[in-house]
Amino acid sequence: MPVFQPGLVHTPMTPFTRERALDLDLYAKLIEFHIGHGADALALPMHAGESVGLPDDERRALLAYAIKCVNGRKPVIAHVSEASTGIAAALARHAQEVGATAIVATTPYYWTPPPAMVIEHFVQIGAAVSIPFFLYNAPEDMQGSKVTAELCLKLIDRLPNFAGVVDLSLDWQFMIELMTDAPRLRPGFQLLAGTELMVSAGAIGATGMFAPLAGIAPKLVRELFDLCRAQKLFEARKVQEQMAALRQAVKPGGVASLKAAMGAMGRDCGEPRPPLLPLDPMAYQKLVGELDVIAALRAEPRGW
Amino acid sequence: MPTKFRGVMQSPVTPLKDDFSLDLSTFERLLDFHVRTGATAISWPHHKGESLNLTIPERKRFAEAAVRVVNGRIPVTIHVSALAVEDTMELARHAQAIGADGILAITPYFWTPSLAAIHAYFVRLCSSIELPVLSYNSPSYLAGVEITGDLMSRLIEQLPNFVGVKEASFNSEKFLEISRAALSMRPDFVMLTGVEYLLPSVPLGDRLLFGGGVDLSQSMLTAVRCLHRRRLAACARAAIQNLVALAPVPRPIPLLAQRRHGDDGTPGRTDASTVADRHQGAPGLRPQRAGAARHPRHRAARLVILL
Repeated sequence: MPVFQPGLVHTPMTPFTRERALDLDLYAKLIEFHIGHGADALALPMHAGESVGLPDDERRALLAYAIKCVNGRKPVIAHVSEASTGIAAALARHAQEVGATAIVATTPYYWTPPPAMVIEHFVQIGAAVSIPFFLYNAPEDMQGSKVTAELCLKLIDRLPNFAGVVDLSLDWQFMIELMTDAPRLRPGFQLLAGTELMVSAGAIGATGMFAPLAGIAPKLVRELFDLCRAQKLFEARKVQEQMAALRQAVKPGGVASLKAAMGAMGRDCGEPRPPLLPLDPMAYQKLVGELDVIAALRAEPRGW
Repeated sequence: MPTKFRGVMQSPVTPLKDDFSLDLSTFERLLDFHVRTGATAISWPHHKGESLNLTIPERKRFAEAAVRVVNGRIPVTIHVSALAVEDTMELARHAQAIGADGILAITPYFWTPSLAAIHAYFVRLCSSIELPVLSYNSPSYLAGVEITGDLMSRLIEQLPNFVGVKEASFNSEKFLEISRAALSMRPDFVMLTGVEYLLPSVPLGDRLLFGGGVDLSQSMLTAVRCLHRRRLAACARAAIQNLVALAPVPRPIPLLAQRRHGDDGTPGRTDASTVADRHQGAPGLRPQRAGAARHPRHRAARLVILL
């Protein structure tokens, strides 16, 4: 299998109407924005794209629609995480059928299973397709359910299309262990930073990055990624600090903050679906105040 | 307060005799070995030096030996963290009295203190001495107790001798939260991280690497050289991977008994087994042969580089 290198991966949000229905027209506009503002690839719908708020049919429709809009201009990675192994595997098969370039999945929701079950979960999802499979290690999103380097090495053994890890653990120990051993077992095995904290991951060997903040600050995201890919890591520190400030500002409110920040940048994507609540006015004012003092945001595009 | 801590700080293990009493003459040789082989600072007794298995009088006696043997060739800091905060205060006063160059102190053990309590602790400790104080942030060992970026800012603002942090979150976001807060207020603030993490930490402002008593192998030397040239080329990465293979550091846990140079036989104190058990499920503490099978001969190399 030729190695697919995702590079800088934008992870679009999912816009809803006031009635909480999928807003596909706005979604098409958002995808155009990402393609026009530095994405090497798209991954959707990630957690920032409220994947867990989409019923199965909507999730399939959204992916197919996105791939149609992208129309081959960029690779699309389908996020197929589910609580059930069987449902996730079915999503994976569907993703390949509608033309996704790769799939990405995290540990099963809710169960926080022991390692043997986690391996089985990933094996069945990965084996359902012939396109590359990326493992999403996101312990903070998954109630602490965490993937170890040892588990990844076992998966390499069992899954020929296991192409790499998208890391949101931010754990230096995990990343160093993984990149010490995995590429020896599978040449071309990739580490991708799971968010815009790229200097450390890049030093350890990450060659890609998932960017949930790309809709808010696409220039800053691109600059950080390009510096890190060129191994200009010392030069990247200032950019990384601005990026971290933005991440820190939106983190407390989660998806509601991401959507509010999109609105503040003139790219309204509506509000999140329940059970998530929109930011209350005080939290919104606080967020806007924090965004105002991030100098790098002044150079970012406003509106679409 | 200008600080003189840069480069690679080595922390000797604590050599024990067969009856688990402290072996002073080997300790003296070990200190001298670290100085001669290029350490740019010494710090003792860290957790890997079994600090928590030593009595307070033992800690004082060996601290005195460290200052005496190093004899001003490089700075010596004393790790003063103890279960009882009053012991920490006493060890800090003692370090100052014997002429140490600084102290290092972790957030209080056991109590899972609030941010306000951590703040009060460092204010009291730093105000009690004039020596520079390096703090120590280790949430993964201390049930999530950690110094936040905001707390770091307050401490730096209030305390002129609060000069650095040993940052042991090993996490991109937490390191950045602290380094961003600290370095914006005080550009010479000392960010200190284990040498095995030099790849992810140095580009973000880390300037003192903690050796943990690991010999300065050729691998590490190569990695530090690459960093010094501000080049994180494949050479640095390969080198650090060799180092990880040589001395695996994965959490959990301390190499509680580390081999003497050329001799694997130093026993650990069995009363540390509660720590080892918690993390490893091991019945007790055994001497470990640190990477002996995979890397038979470490070359002690002269470290000529300051970050």
